[in-house]
Amino acid sequence: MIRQILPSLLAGAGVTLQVFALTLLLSLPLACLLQAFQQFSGRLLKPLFRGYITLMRGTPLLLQLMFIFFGMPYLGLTFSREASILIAFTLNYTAYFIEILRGALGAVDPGQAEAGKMLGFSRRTIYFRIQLPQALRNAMPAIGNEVLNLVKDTSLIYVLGASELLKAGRSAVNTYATALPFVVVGLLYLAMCGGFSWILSRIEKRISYY
Amino acid sequence: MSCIAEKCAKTFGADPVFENVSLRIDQGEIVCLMGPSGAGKTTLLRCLCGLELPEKGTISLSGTVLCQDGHWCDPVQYRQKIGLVFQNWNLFPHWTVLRNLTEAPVRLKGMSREEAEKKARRLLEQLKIEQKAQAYPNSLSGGQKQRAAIARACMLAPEILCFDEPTSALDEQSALDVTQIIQDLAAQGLGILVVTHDEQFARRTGTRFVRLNELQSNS
Amino acid sequence: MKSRKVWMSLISLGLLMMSGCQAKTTAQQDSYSTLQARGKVVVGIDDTFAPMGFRDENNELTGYDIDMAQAVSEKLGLTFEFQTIDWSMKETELNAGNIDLIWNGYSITETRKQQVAFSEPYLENRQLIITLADSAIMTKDDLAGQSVAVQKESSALEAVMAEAELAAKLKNGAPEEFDTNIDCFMDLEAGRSQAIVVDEVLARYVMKQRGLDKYKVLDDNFGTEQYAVGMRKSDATLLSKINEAMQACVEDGTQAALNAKWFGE
Repeated sequence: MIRQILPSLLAGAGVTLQVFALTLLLSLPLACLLQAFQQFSGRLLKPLFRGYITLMRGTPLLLQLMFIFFGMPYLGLTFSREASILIAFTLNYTAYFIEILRGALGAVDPGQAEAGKMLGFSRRTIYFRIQLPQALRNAMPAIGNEVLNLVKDTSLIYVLGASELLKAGRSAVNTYATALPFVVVGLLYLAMCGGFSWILSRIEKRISYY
Repeated sequence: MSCIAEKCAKTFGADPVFENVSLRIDQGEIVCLMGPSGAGKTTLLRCLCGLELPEKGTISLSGTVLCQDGHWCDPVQYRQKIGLVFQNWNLFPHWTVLRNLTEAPVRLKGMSREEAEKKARRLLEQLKIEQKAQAYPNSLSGGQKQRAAIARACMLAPEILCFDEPTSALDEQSALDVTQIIQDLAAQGLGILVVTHDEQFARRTGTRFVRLNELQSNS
Repeated sequence: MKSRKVWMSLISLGLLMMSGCQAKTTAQQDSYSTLQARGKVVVGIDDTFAPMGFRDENNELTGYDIDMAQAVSEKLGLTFEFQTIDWSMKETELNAGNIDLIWNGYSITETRKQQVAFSEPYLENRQLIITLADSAIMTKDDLAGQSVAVQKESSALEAVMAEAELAAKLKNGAPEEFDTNIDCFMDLEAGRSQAIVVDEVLARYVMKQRGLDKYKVLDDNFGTEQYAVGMRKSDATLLSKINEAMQACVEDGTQAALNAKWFGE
């Protein structure tokens, strides 16, 4: 039985990992950049950022997925399934990462920026070389939480017909009329999250050199 | 080469911190600005360093004007000529002591990394913490952090060096060492401004002593 | 789960309204020539619906409807591309033009007729009432006060709701809704539901997998319905072509062979 269901579940896990990795690779750097813009932007842009973050955090990711794929074509923008998934996840997770970064940057001693200023560093150098590295270290536990949430949130892409792990599991449950695939699916999620937790703790240790 | 503040005024909200303050710091002298905490000494220091903008008055350093009547003039140029050793030093914790020293000259003065490291090691040696070059700031003692911060400020060869409460976190011996370091720097031709409420330290270190209320003219 | 359903209905409603506002889109025109030029027709299927459409041990799509669609595609001379979709979004996907056909044990109902055009039916299907073997429930009337499970957005749900008087007498005044039919079976076995209403085609397949003697199929049922292929109402040409091809499948014995292969009839 396991041998029969495993290929489709592993294929599903592959899709899950793909969405996970691409989202993470896109959203975390994007959040660092956008937070810089937010910090340097004047009064004009700030409400725009706040609006974006409120929208992303105030509506379910599932709804955002459906809106981008089913709703945007009515506004003249048609995205493929893959692009819709990536856009929705990246926009959503970037918003969360921005908020995490904002908090972590607030916890960095303002004296650090002043010291940079006295040495003549530009605002960009102060942000990217002095504040951000310290903020990222402070934010690691919160970022880690989001990373694990992301693994599990990928299960939402079923709504666009993508065969991710949970969908593959449901499919197998229907085909073989037993709940066993759910157990396997759970174990696969657990293995993935366990792996990522381990990697995260290694990174945390690595950046705790000072 | 002297730093001149003329008729400066700074308010926080509706409360004036100081008004009509004038101060001049010349090459080679050690000016100690004293007074109880909360009197506005540190605010004046921050104004002189270009971290705060006074609403009135002019601040300039050997011809470079920092600000005039509530407007910035040339703060970037100005800050290159003045250094500040913060009360809590504000060393960058994620960089080694050496990198704390070299990053600014390499990035902004176009110095090669090699040259910068050579200069940094020489400075650290003078300040007797050369063995801490590769250490991270958090592993340093208060006195060592103080020296690292002084070395970092000196890397950019300022004309004026400011100290904010340099002895507040130091033991007796380290405070004595700081006196020596400051006097050595003045002997090399730097103008020094020390903000402190430590009378004993000021008396043995300074060449001139001022209180904030004495700097205010009534004109 | 509950909130997801609410959101889903809200957004579906919103999208339906948006699509209603649209005056002219490609979706409103007969697309047969476009499909021919493209050389392929996109078939929306739900791969969690054994034995009509599901994945085998090699993760390949298989099932009665997949075979049937392949046969029709050969007769039409058009390539069919299968796109897995979320079953609750099928009409939205169709009208948005993401898929051209809904073909996956798709029962003809009055509500659906408002939204899509149906081909001639190709399979009969009853809505069976199933209980555990030792249940005291013998007739439809015994369902009063009992908890009854059905798949959400399914024709089984519609069939039960069509008998409003009976539906109101169920525990909580309505059937319990689950994501998939297997969830219904599992809920029945867990003892939370006392009966389930399921498509016969699926039910027979599941009961064979899980053990026939565990269940009892009531003589009463919630009516007969027919499986057909759904497409956009504007696609009149595609509709007639598919009807012709399916008729040809009946005449040359292709469908009989499929019935034998999947249902052993």
